[in-house]
This record gives sequence, C-alpha cells and structure tokens, in this order.
Amino acid sequence: MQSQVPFPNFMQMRQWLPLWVWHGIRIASVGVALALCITLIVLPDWGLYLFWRVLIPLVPLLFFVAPGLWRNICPMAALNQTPRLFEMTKGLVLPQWLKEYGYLIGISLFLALVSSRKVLFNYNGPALAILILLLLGTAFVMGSLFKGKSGWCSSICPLLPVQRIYGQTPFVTVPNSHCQPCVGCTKNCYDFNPPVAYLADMYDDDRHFAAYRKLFVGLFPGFILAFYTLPNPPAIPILAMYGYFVLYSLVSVGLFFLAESTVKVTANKLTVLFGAVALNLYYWFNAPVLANLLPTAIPTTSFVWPFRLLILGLTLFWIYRTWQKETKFVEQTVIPLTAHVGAQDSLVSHQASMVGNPEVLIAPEGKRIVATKGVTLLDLIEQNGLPIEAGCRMGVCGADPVCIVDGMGNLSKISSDERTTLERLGLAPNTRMACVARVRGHCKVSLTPEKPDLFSTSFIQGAKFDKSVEKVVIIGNGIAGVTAADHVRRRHPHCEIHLIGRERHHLYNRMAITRLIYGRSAMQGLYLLPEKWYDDYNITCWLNTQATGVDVDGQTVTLGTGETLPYDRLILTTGSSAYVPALEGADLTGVFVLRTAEDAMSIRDFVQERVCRQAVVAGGGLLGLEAAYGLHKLGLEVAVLERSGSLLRRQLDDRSGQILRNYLEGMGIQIVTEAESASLQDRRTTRHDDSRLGGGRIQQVTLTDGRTLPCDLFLICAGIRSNLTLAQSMGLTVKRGVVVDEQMRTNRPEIFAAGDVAEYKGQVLGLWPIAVGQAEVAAAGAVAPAGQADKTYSEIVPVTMLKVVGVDLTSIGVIGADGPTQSEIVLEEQEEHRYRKLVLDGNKVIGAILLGYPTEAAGVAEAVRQGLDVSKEIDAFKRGDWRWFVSLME
Amino acid sequence: MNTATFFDYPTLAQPAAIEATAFLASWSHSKWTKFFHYCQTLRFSDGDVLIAQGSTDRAFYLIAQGQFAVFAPHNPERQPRRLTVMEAGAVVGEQTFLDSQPAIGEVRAIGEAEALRFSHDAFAILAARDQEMAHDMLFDLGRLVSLRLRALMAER
Repeated sequence: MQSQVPFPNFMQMRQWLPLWVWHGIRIASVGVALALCITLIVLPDWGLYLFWRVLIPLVPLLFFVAPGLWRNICPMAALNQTPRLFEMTKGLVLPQWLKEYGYLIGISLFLALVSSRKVLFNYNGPALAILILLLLGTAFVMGSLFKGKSGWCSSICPLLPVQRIYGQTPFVTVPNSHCQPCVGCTKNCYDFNPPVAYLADMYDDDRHFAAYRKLFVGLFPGFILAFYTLPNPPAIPILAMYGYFVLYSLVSVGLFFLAESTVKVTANKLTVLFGAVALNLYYWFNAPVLANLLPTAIPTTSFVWPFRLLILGLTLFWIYRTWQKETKFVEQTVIPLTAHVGAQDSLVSHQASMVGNPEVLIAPEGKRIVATKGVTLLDLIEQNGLPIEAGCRMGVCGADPVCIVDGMGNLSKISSDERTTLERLGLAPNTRMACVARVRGHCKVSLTPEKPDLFSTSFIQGAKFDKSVEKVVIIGNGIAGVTAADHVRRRHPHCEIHLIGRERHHLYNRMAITRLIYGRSAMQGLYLLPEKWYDDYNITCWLNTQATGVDVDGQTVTLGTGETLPYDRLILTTGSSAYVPALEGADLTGVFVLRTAEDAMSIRDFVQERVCRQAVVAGGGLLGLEAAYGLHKLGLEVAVLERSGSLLRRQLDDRSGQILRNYLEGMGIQIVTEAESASLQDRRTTRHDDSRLGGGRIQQVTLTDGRTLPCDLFLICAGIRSNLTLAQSMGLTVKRGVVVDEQMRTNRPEIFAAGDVAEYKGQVLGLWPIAVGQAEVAAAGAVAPAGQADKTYSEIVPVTMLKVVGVDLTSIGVIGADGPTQSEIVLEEQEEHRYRKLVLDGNKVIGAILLGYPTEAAGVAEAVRQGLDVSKEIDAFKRGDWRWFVSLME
Repeated sequence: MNTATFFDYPTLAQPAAIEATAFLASWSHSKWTKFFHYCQTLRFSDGDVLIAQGSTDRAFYLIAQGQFAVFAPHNPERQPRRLTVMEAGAVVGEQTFLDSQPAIGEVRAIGEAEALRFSHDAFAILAARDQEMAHDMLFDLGRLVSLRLRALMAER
C-alpha cells in the first residue's frame, strides 16, 4: 500500500517496533531525564556537561535525520501522553486562542530559553534541572487536560519549531507510536504525516500558519549566529546581549522577507534554504564540541572539517529532496477530487485476465491496443476511436484497407472474397481488409495502406482475350461496373474501356451511405478507389453522364451529352433504384428515399435546415434499420415501421428478431411492427420556405390501422427495383431484371449484364458480393474469344450483416429448417444478449444466424459456401463449442 | 489549497472520503466484469499521450496499472506544467466523456502503464443492453463532477 500512496500517513507505514518496546524505551527516556535532573543538582558540572556538550549538540542532528525517533522517545512527549495512556486525561479541546498562538508561544519559549543559556542555564545546574522539571511537568499537566498531543507536543513545546524545520524531509521516517488511535487533535499534525506536515502549514489557507513558520525560520540563522558569536555576560551587559539577539534575528528575518519579495521561488523553498543555513551554522560551531567527545587519540581537526562537510552534503541533498517533494505535494493538492474505481479488486483481476493477449500497435499514432484473440482489426480500431472507414464488414467493399507493417502471420488467413477485393484495390502486398483480418498475435498496423506498383502484375495469368474486341463500354459505375472494368482490363491489356456513370462520384462505398447522415466527413473517406486508379488502368470514366440510348445493331451508345460511343462489347451495370410504393403524400417535402450518396446528404441537409426532431423510417430491413440508426445518431427521435411481425424477416427468425428489437428499442429507436403506411399528411403551413419548395411539409404518417405517428422526415426504405428502362429500350429480355445466363450474357451475345440489374435464375438479390461475382464473370465473357470464356457464375450464398454499433449480426444462407432432411441447432445466452442458429441439411451447414458472435461468422460463411460436411462437429456445436468454425479461417 | 486529505484518518474520515470519490462503489464484481467487457485495454510507454490537450474523443479511462501525469493547459511551444499524478484505479477524462468539449489538459504515461478506455459508443451499447447499469454510471459520473464543482466552489 505504501508504494501507491505518495505521502503515506503513520497508519499506512510499517511500525518499527512493537508498542510495548516503545513504552519501555519511553520509561527509560523519562528515567534518564529525571536522572539528569538529579545529576544537575547533585553534580552540576557533570550534568551540565552531559546536557550541553553531549545531548544538545546531537539533538538537531536527530531532528534532521530521524525526527520520528525523537517524537517517539522524547521524555516530555512520554509524560504528555502518560495520562492518556492510563485514561486519566480530560481530553479537552484546546482553546481557540491557544490553537492560534500555540506555535508563537513555542517560538517565544525557545528563543527566551536558548538566549538565557548565556546568563543562566549554561552555568547553573539546579536552574537547568528546575527548567527541565518544569517542562516535563507542564507537558504532563497539558496532557492531563487536553486531547491527544494538542496541549504540548503539537502546540507550545519549545522544540517543536526546530523539529518542524529540520524534520520536514526525514532521511529515516519512524512512524508515530504514541497515538493509538489518532484523535484528530491537531491540524496539519506532524505525527500523523511527517513528510507533508510542514508543507501543509506553508500552503494552509490560514496565512498565519505559514507566517509563523516563515518568521521562525527567517530569524533562526541570525539567532544561532548571535548565540555563538556574542560574548557571554558579564563580558557584555545582559540587556545588550538580548538586544543583539533581537538585532541579529531581525536582520536574518529581514533577509528572509527580502528574499521572499525578490526571488521567484516559493516561500517554502526559502524556508528550506534558511533551515539549511541554520543547521550548518549550528554544526559549524558545534563540530569542535562533538570532536571533544572522541577519544583523545583522534586529533580534533581530523573530525571537525569532515563533519562540517558531511553536514553540508547532507543538507544539500535534503534541500534537493525537499524541493522535489514540494512539487509532488502541489501536484497532489491541485486536483482535490480524483475519482477512483469503486472495486479495485475487479480492476486488478480484469487486468490480469488481459495479460498474454496479443498487442496491436497502430502506427503512426503509436497506440498499443490489447486485443481479444479473434477480434477484427476494424472493430479494434473503431472501438478505440481511431479514424477508419467501414462498409460491408465482410471484406468485399474495400472501404478499410490497412497496411500490416509487421506480424502479417499473426492475422487470420485471407479469404477468397478478401483476396478479390485486395486485387481490385491493387494496393501493396502487405495490405489487409481490416474488417476481416482477425488478430491472432502481436502485429503492427498502419491505417494508411501503402501505394502499389502492381499494375503490371495484376493481369490474370493465362487469360485468353479476343483481339478483335477493341472497345468495351460499361454503363454504370457502381461496384458491378467498376469490377467489370477492372477485370476487362486484367484480361485484355489493350482494349478501350469506357465507364459511364450517372452519379457525380467515382466508386464509393454505397454500403456506408448511412454514415453520411450522421458523420461529419461527408464524402471524404467514402471513395473506394483513388482517382488515379482509372488512369492507371487506362479506363475512361464518364461521371455525371447518362446513357440515353443504345443502338444494338450499330453497336453504339448514345450519351445524354450528344456523344456516341461505339462498342464491341457492352456490359450493363445500371444497378437499381429505391422502390417507392404508391403512397398518398409521397411527394411531400420531407419524404426521402435512400439509395445514393446524394440521397443521404440531402437528408442530412434537410434535418439541419428544417431543424427536424422526429423521423419515421418505413421498412425494417437492413437499410431501414441502418438509416434509423443514422438518424438516431443525428439526434432525432426515430420510429421504424415494419409491415411484418418482426425485423429483418429475410435474415432473422422470430427470436433473433426480438433480441435485435430489444436492443434497438433500448437504444431509443421505436419499432412498430405490423405497421403499414396508408398516407402521409402535411403541415399545411404558410411558411415562406415551405412554399418556396412547393407543396406542404410532412407532419405525420397514418397507418392502415388508423394509428398516426408525427414526423418531420419520412424515409422510405422499401427495397429496390432494377433500373431497366435502358435495357427495355434495347429490346433485351427483361423480367424483374435483365435476364442473363451463367456467363452473364443477355439475349444479345455482345451484351452482358451484372449486379442489381441482372436477373439470374429468376432472382435479383441486390447484394454487393453477388454484384462483384457477376461482374467478374461478365468481364471474362466479354473479352474471351468465342466459346472460350473461362468463368461461369454459380449462385453465391448470400451473407448479410447489420451495420449498427453494438450489433454483431450476420445472416448466412438459409435461416430456418424446411423439410425432413433439415435441422437446426439453436443456442441463446440471454444474459449476454447473444443468439446463434445453425441450419443443417443432413451433415452440411446451409445457413446460420449469428447475433453476437463476430469471431465465428466468417468460418460459418465459409462452411456454408463450401458445403462442408460437419458430421464430426455436430455434438460440439450443440454444446456451444463452435471453435471449429474459427479454425477454418486460421 | 485543500491539504486536508493528507491528514485523513484511515478508519474514520478516510472511508467517507473514499466513498465520496469512489466511482460506482455499489457495483458488484459481476457488474464490473460486465462493464470491462465494454472497455478497451491500452498500453503506454513513458511519455505516451493518453489524452491530448484539445482532444474531443468522447471516452473516459480507468487507470489499470502504472502512473499518468496530468499537465495543465499549455502553449505547444512551452514545457507543460505537471499538475498531478494519477495512479492505478483513478478515473480520468470523464468531463469530455460527458460534455464532448475539448480536453483542457494533457495526460501522459509515466513509465509503462495501462488504461481501460470506455467510449461514448460503448456507453450507447451498454445503455441499450443494460439500462440499469447505464443509469448507475451516468448518475455516478454526474455525482463526481458535482462533487468536484462543490470542492472548487468551497476553495473559492
């Protein structure tokens, strides 16, 4: 304990000796004092020699080195505490005047008695004996009357001022053994806390505390000098002697206050200096006296100077220690209330549990984060408030590349999805996607990925391309379009590639657009590729450009700008738009959809401009919930309307949907299930700004069951619809999307489609990884010689994640058993708010719901993708041991 | 200047003082364990910054091991003045956590040290999962800040 407390008090120090030993020593001490008095009366010369030539020269050194020892064995203190020991004290509180002036009385007694040595006590043994007996008697009487040590030791004892100065930074701290227990009798008690008592006096709010101490220490050197340099009466008249004492003391104290006024150090530092001067003066004159105690064989001179130097050295060290201590003391007093953990033991045991965990060093910030094994770098970085973007959290969007400076081998292995993303980004080989790189050991990570020199090596080795394909046009610059362009270039180094995008932005992280609602950095950080990427890959990018028509026979694309682009191959990646159901009032101001970055930024603008307070989000799917979270983070009251009975009905079963609902409601987001919007009503306002925009501003939504919810903003998240206008105008086969085969080829052999616009086997899934997979196949087919395409599309198991802080939710493939061969393993930890379900078909995992199990998610997804046989693991899975999935990714 | 704490008697006055400044003293070990689950552990070498002056990172820290020095606000060109040293168990940064205003001073490690970080996001998650714990925490942080305000007012 002592090591943790900067200034331990006597209760926090280890006692040197048992109490009974101290009592014995004190009895002996009183006995010695009484014996000395008898000696002074019976054999005055012996007594005077013993007292003035042996004891008194040593006492200041004892105060200086081990003041606590003196405080414990002082005969006056022993007698003062005797009544208390025998429970005979009245224990009175010291009168206020004595509290205030006790120290001054002690100073006065000291000065009067010491100066009177020259006229009386140095020569008169009986007088000295009487004085000692008087002091002992007074100490005893004051102890009988007053509480603790307040009547003598800590107030009017004439030795106290000297002890306070010399003993403020003990070389040896001997804890108080008198006060059992402490009765709190004295302010800034020396016995209670020796190292800070003097400092506490000096810094006390009552300025007199410091003033008395400054007065004494200021005059002390002059007083000592006077004592040892003035002749003794009768060589000097007695009055003159006292006058000189006063004069010397005044000059000394004058110097002190002059120094205090002019030298820019704290008053306490000056008291230390003056105390040091006083001690050195004292031993300058007493060194020869002490030398006389040595055996006569030792010459006096061989002791005096070394002893003086020893005292000087000790005081210099003492000055240094005391000044240092003052700094620490001030530090401890400036902040009066530092909060401390209420359960230190819990903190210690937690800390012990983290020993041995891997450490991730983030450069250049230099943050050293202790990781839980299996945590992703992204989670670790985000949880520590470091700047990083995030998107899919599955390694496919490319939002969070990081550079692994050291320890690549201590991360989980790279999955096929991540590898595809890394190839698209084309960064240095030491890059990992933070969202899927799981920590297994120590590593060093930089948040800035290193630039590549990879263009020449990013071609797909062995890929054959049709040299007659000279121009490839890709309509749509979302992830499908950019992936298609990337893979066309990797397979065909020479063809012209045109990438046409309606939006104003280069490829950005569409999965993170809800961050535009609540985040501060707008589009910054949302872009997934550097602008230079297009030049590096020799791709002509047309931003903010619409393809208005395609002449499929002439093989040209007409742009809205009037330009025409001929093509040999055309890839349609026109994506999808937000679906807006027929809804009365959907044209009101304040009604939004969320599909593009512009949509998200418009919502943020609107919330700020119109000071919105309440929002309703129609749709409890992934986008709806993420948008609701974004609006909640922006400070709005948010309600989510869900037509079915539970959230994320495509991704979750009832129980996991309920857990998620509880969490979101706990966060403050209102969830209204079985709620369908019937109409939106406006504010019917006449405000100028509303009329300027035309139409009224939304005020509330009315549900089909008649309920109403007030709102300033209504966001429709009702799903997507493929952008088919262009494809329809081209005469392509279109159902829900543009119908494609396994090579992503439309009914026109030179036209391909991929992503949200493509319909494969009757499905338009609208997921990022699927768009990537389809675009790769489309690119391969587009540039391959006829009949030699090396890639075909096979259905990808859909994996979805909800990107809301605190929700580690992954839904993979099939979410519920259906049919006699299928079964489920369902486990829930209610206390931890965690839930997991594995759906099996025979011995194969075909789907899962993982809520609160981020470490296992990637492995489960991999097992589902590969259709692995898990028959040997099923019992372990039922017991809750899913480490096998984790091991798949290591 | 308040020097009274140096003279607190361990068995009488000090428990009251400890109780007054103890953060979430009423929490059981299991609640603390749950709370630590929301914290991040950070390690520091001598001189590493725990809280930078002006930082608006909404998080507070529990010192788990070692010491951290608190420095007064300073001009970047000048040597900062050390105000105090915080030891294991101390809570630091709670003001910025509560008000999201820039940190006034700076906190740096003295030697090897370790601290647990509890962010505002972590609080949002805790509040969503366990409102009682979040309620306890918020009130206790408010109480500590209030006590500090009282102490400052008393000094004036």
